[in-house]
Amino acid sequence: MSAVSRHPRHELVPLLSSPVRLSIVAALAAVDRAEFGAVRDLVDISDSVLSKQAATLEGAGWVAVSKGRVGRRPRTWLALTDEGRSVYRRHLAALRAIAGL
Amino acid sequence: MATVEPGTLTRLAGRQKGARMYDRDDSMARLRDAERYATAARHRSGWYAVCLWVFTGWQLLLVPTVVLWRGPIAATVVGVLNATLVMAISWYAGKQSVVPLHFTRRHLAVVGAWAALYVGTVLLSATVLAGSVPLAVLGALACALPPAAGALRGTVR
Repeated sequence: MSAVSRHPRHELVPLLSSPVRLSIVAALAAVDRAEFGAVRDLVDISDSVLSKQAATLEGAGWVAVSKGRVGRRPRTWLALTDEGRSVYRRHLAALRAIAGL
Repeated sequence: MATVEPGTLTRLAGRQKGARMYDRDDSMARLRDAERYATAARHRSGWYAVCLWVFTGWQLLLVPTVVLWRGPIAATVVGVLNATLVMAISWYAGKQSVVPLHFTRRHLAVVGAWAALYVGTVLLSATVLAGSVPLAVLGALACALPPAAGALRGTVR
């Protein structure tokens, strides 16, 4: 077995290498859940970009998308799943290790 | 025997060092970005702390009133005011687009602790300590404690 430790770069999560996806996950990690429009405004992206990235993250099982209604107004909520939080923590740990923090 | 052109190792070492620097700077930048977005999201979920502070202030009025002002008129006035405030807070909460982290757990803990203290104060005022000013003061502070602690927990990180 090799005694040489792997570079923390290898612990980075490829799907979070996209700055937009990382921003979405970072925003969602700080809250229980957020409305689609709130995430769009926080990350400063268009509806279509958020929709596409949310679908990618949902496909990976890291983001849960749920639809609800407040009065007559439909609402779409985004939330990080437990797996998503765990993956995000691992990615942050790798970034900190690379940055030497 | 394999030969290495002069300067090759120096060039390779320099490239590797450059890659490491890029890794480090890039990682720092991404960490800063992530923290920025997390802070902005937390800020948007600060409405719950505002609600809890309003509820904390309300306890300082509600509990002394319940303890010291007795009778059916008092019960009606306090009941209506309390219901109005709770409805207003619920309406405000329902309009928010970002739900704070651990909201359900935190809210249940705050409401559970407050309810136990409030019921205890009301029972004491209805039985052994009727009209007691110290009970009114201590009860108000005790009932204000759970929402204040919940609000502080949400704002101090």
